[in-house]
Amino acid sequence: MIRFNFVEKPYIMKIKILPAAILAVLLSITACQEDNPITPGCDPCIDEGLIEAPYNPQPYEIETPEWFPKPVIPADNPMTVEGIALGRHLFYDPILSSDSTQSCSSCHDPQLSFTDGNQISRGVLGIDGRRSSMAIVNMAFNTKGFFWDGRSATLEGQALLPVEDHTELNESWENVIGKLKNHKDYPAMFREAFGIERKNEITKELAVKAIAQFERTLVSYQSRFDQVVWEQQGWPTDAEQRGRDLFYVEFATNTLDHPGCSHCHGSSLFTENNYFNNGLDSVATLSDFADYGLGEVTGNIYDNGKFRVPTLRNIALTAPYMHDGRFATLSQVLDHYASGGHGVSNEDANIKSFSLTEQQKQDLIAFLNMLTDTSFVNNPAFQSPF
Amino acid sequence: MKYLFFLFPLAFVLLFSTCKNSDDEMMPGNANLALNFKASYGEAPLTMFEREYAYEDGMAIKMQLFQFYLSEVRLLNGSEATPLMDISLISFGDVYTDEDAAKGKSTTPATAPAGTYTGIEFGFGVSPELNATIPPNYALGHPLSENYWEAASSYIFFKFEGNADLESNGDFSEKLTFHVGGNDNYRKLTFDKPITIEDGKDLMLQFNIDLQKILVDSNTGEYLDFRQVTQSHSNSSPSATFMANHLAEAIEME
Repeated sequence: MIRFNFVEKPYIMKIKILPAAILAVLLSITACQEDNPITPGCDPCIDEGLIEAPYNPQPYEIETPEWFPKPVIPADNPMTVEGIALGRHLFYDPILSSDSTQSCSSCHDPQLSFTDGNQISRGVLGIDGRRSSMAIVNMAFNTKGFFWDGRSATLEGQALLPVEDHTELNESWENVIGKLKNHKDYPAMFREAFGIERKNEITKELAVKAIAQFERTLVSYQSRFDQVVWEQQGWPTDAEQRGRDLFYVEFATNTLDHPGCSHCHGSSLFTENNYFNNGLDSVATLSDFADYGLGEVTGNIYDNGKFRVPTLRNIALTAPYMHDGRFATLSQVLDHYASGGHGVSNEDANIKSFSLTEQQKQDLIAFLNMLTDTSFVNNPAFQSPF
Repeated sequence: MKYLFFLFPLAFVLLFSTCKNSDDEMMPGNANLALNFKASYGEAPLTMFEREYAYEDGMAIKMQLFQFYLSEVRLLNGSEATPLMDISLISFGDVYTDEDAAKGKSTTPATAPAGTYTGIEFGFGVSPELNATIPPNYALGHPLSENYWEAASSYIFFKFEGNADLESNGDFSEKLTFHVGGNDNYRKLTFDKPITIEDGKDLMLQFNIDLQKILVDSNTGEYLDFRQVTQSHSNSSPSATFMANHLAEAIEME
């Protein structure tokens, strides 16, 4: 038995040890919890009142065909009907821009498979950005970074950046949150989606979570290619079949000149979201690229000039092409690849010249047109709610 | 008062110990085991992009990518086999320096029962059983969620990509892309060497893979002639078979 030798002031021992023991237990318990959301301060105080709306989120499951991988849903942002509805509103609402003229959808039009048809996207200040708008298609299946250069690891992280980019929406998140708090509908929608109780609990983190939830619903898998190849509904035309034979490299023999498109645009998603230098620019050294792309993010010189491979689903709708929109047509894109690049040291080895007759080019384009999914671009759930 | 000095450390012990995930605990009698591969071309470490490797008949090559799958890794004890891992993808695509090359590339550690083993075996490529699956069967990020030939119904077991100087003039403009797949090119390799796994003690088994021995037959001098063939994306091409047949010589266990 352990005896404590506190004869003179036993009560002091009791008083001092008890809080320490409580502290120990509290520390041990609280340290294992996720960071608790701290109620923001009230400066400026907009409304401390409770938001009057129900909180009964309905789980949402992305519908995917068996030939697709399983979508990747972050554990801290499960999809709900209410979260998607909020994200859809935010995506289409110019409230996110400094002059209320542009929304996410300004550069991501569903009719263009969520691109904007411009060579380079232009923001609210009339300033051109650096690159062409990327299609928002099948984002739920990308684990390798977003933007052309992969600078955001998550879709939530991606959605944070355009708001404060001067070449895009040119607004501060602080202002956006202020506008959302004062909006007649958004506080209730945030509560329905995330269970917040007060307006001052609306944050940019919740806003981008909602936008990401909506974007993850943008799944395209009902093209003519899917119907013919995966669902065995109908037959390809002769041109489509010839184009398919050219597209998939495994049909090639050793000696045949071959486009080899599937090297980079493989899988049922028509991309594996990898990063390549696809031979666009002739530069003397790897430091001479006008746009470093992935290299700008990693700081690795061998990543200079590499960009994320976009999906080819709905490719007929997403002209112009490449990260800088330099090619207006698919015909120009194919001409580029047939030319075999420029021999820059980190140019992907699969960029090799090949002969391409006009007939073959039209066959390949016929195949690429099979990837257009009109049910996707016309899906009412993906259109503006306003 | 002095006992408080004991209570605060107790608080911190509780703080950290209570957060420990039960998955982190190694069951008694086990240890973490991983396989580490160092790649070379002959005596030179295999690095991407910059280094030139003298090839046959006056040619030279530079590397861009070297990767392969390992399947069905098993510890051997006589005729008994202890499964260690189903699949692993080893890629040297981001090995740029000698320092990178010296570190090698490792499999994810697997739990292995402590004991003494007579050797280890694995398949080079994707085993026929796993090769009958398709990427949608796996979560994104899993080794088998990519590197698949849709129309050939096979994973790409092995990739070697780079550039060749065919005329000894410093012009590395000829691009090389050799991709090998198909069940006929799957090779099971066995390494008979005593392996002792101690309880709770992590172990890394070291292997070397020499690309030169895959491209050049060290016995006959026969080699892949890049003046004749610069690509192979097939299950059955002669060059694919040639490379698959030389894997056993190319991999050594330290």
